[in-house]
Amino acid sequence: MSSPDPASTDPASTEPPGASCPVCGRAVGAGPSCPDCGWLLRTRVLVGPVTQKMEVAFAIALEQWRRRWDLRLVARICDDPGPYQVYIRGGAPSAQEWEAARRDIEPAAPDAEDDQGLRAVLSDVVDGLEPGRGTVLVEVDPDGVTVVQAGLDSFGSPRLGDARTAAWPQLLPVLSRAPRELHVQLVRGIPPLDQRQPWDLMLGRIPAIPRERLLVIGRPAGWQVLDRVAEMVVKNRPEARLVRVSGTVDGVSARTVLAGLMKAAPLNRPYRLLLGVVDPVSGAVRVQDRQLFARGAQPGTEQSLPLRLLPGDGQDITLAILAADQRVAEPLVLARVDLPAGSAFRLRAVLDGPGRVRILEPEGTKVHSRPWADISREIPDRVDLAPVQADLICAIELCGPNELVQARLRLVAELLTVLAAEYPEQGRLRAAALTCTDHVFQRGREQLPVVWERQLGPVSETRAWLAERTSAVIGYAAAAPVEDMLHRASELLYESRVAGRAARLLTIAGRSPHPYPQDPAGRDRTLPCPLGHDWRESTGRLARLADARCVAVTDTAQTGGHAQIWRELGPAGLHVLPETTARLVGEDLGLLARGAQRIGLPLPDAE
Amino acid sequence: MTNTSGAAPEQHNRASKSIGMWGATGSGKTTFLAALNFAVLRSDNEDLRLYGVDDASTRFLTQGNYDLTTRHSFPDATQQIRGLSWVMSLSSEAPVRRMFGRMARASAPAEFNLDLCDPPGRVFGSAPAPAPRPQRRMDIDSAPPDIPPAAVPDRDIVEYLARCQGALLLIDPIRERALGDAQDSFQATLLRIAQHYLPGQQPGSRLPHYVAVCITKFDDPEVYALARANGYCSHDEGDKHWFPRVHDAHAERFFRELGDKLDIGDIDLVCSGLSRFFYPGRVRYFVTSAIGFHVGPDGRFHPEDYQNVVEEPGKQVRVRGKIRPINVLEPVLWLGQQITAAG
Repeated sequence: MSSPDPASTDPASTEPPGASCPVCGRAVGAGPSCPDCGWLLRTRVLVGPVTQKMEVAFAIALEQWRRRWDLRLVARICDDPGPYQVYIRGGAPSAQEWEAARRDIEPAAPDAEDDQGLRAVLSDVVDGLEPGRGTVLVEVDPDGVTVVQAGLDSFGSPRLGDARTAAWPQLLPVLSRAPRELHVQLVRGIPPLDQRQPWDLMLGRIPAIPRERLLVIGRPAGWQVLDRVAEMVVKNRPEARLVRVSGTVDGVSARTVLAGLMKAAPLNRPYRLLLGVVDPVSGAVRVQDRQLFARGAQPGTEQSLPLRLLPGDGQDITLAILAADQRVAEPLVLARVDLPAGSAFRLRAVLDGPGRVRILEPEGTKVHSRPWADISREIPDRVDLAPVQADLICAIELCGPNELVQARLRLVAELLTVLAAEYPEQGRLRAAALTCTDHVFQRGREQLPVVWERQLGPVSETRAWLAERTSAVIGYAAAAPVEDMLHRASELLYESRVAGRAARLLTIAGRSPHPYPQDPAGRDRTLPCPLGHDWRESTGRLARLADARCVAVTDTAQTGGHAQIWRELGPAGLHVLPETTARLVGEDLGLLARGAQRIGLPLPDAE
Repeated sequence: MTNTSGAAPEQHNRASKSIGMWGATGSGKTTFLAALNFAVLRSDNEDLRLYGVDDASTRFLTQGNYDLTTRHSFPDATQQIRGLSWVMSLSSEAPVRRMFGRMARASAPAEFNLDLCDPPGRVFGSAPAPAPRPQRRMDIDSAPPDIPPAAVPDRDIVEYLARCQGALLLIDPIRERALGDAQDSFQATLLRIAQHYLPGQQPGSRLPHYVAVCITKFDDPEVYALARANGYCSHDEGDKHWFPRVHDAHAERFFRELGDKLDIGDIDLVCSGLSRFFYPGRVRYFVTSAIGFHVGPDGRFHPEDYQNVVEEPGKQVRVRGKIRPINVLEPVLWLGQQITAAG
């Protein structure tokens, strides 16, 4: 169908002022045809009267042109003309008419993107998000004009801000509030809005658009009002990009697509689990993180980490997950779980999407009810705990009444038994034993060794070696060669420290060490160590160089100057043999956890 | 054989000049004598010899040697011994007549007696001997024995000492601090000697004896510590052990300071008595140690570890290492040279 022959029109029209196109309703311009619908508005003047035949022909042509125009409009709105057939002059179209109309509109927006193109554009938006720099999405669609800001949240996850939408009747009150009529108006355009003023007013009613990268989506492409408004939004915004998207009124909004893309985006930074790390030597506690999900991890990725707990620590364990370089102190995920004290377990977590991590194991994990600030405040600076790797030296005086010596050996045996159970991993705890008998202050015998040694090795083997020790007679009552054991212990534990192992020393004796040198004032007549070992120097080395934790056990409570000596021999704990237990000694040695001791975070464990 | 019959030894081997030992109970006379034998034997002077004048005296030396070297213990106290005597031979400077009747001094062999005739040391004092107790070298913690009213020193002993040309006065500062009887013993004996000798002498006369005052137990930690802390210690260049010594010239001052700082009774009265009753130049002080100091594996003295006795509560004091007497021979030689040179 075509409009009347333009050759028959006359430009010197006699149409009334404010005349509009009989097809699309647009104000008539100066041209011979309507720029929108192409209806021939003006023909040359025909000579002669207008015949009925001519009138009929014109009426038919106009009707056809109008129908064709309406069908095109409706075809731009939806795939099924049913709901909109009232807006089709001439009634419901035949299938052929509808197909033809749909074919006609295809080239209406040749630069428009389809859904796939839209996803690509929006994917670029997600990928281009940077900390502190987002993109403003302005979507001009059948709902109205929606402004929404896309950016990275405090954890670096892409997030859409709240959408602010101004509906069309708010923007242009002349538009209908009835959706279908509104859609038709939006597609067809509104003749009175050909004037500039209403559009300017409309721009003022659009929600404020932040001055950031701007992406304007006009959807569906070819809707006259939408196209015009979209162009007006990008006007004077050189950073703005206008994308028209083909489709119908039923299409998914760009912001919905963008939200979906954000949820499905790979991680733009690693996620890390907070762990407690205990210095194996000093027991100092630090909070460290270990990667749980790597940068680029896709939603659905599952990861697991082997973890363990501080011995004695099990209740209210905090599982905290951070995003690298996050801008807030509060973790991305803050959960809690109760576990058996000292247990080893695996953390299994699945990445649901940026900013969304689901903990699968351990079971019973719940959202923490307390803020991280409170939890972190309770993490101690230092704990007395089982170190990752430790060397324990048991230095035992073998002189004295057999019953007493056996009591010393029994305490050590009990301690080693407990420790063997507490440290089943091979090589994690090694034990050595040093025993001594008295110096012999006789000519030619003073330089003889008085310390016997069981080298560092498995705890059970050291315990077996000690079980074969027997008591010896006291040869010099005033002192025992504790200083010689300390000297040797300082050598061994220094090597342990160099090897990164925590150093522990347990000294059990009935008498104080020999001094060295002889008391300069001459009051203490105890003979100095003939081998020249100074126990104070050795304890200093143990503390400074080996960073050893030293505990001492005496047969009886010491008094006077001896009490001070023993306090120095056991700075981490001084016990009296009949009153102590292996557990108490082990706790002071930092090899057994005290009941009340906890850090509340899991520790890393070996794979 | 122990001589219990009289004060003065009567053996026929005796020399003409004698030195008597003088000191309170436990002042270390027995140990000093035993150590003297070591000192003589270890001396570089091959002219020196010490030997007993009889079997008992010889056996005493033998036993002392055995105790100190084999048993590593101190000789038993001289509870019952009387009249032991040894002869010391040495080279001495003596006046000789030269050509034209001129007199000169020349080295010549000489001998003198060293007599231990007091034995129990209480004889020198005014108190009876305390009841025998386990031997303790340093009995400073034990309460002093109950001391009864003054007893008179044995007359024979005093007369013997008065007849000697020299006296070896032993004072144990550690024992003196604990018991305080040395001064008492000294004064009582000194007055008896003066009573015996001075009557009939020219007015202003003094006792003619030479006296070597031996402050014993220099090896004791407190004595050595005080000497070291106050700058009294020196070393002989020729001493291969580098033992500390207190020079004789400073010995009296050290003795007085020892009395002050260790709060040892009336030591100043001993010094005062000696200077008043004997001629100037005839009294000399020596700081001595019978057993000497311990030496390390390198054979040298180390101030960090020098104690040469092992003492434990309830046990006999033992000698730890070799006996290396310090200033034991020197006072005897000095006395010997003085009395033999006096002609």
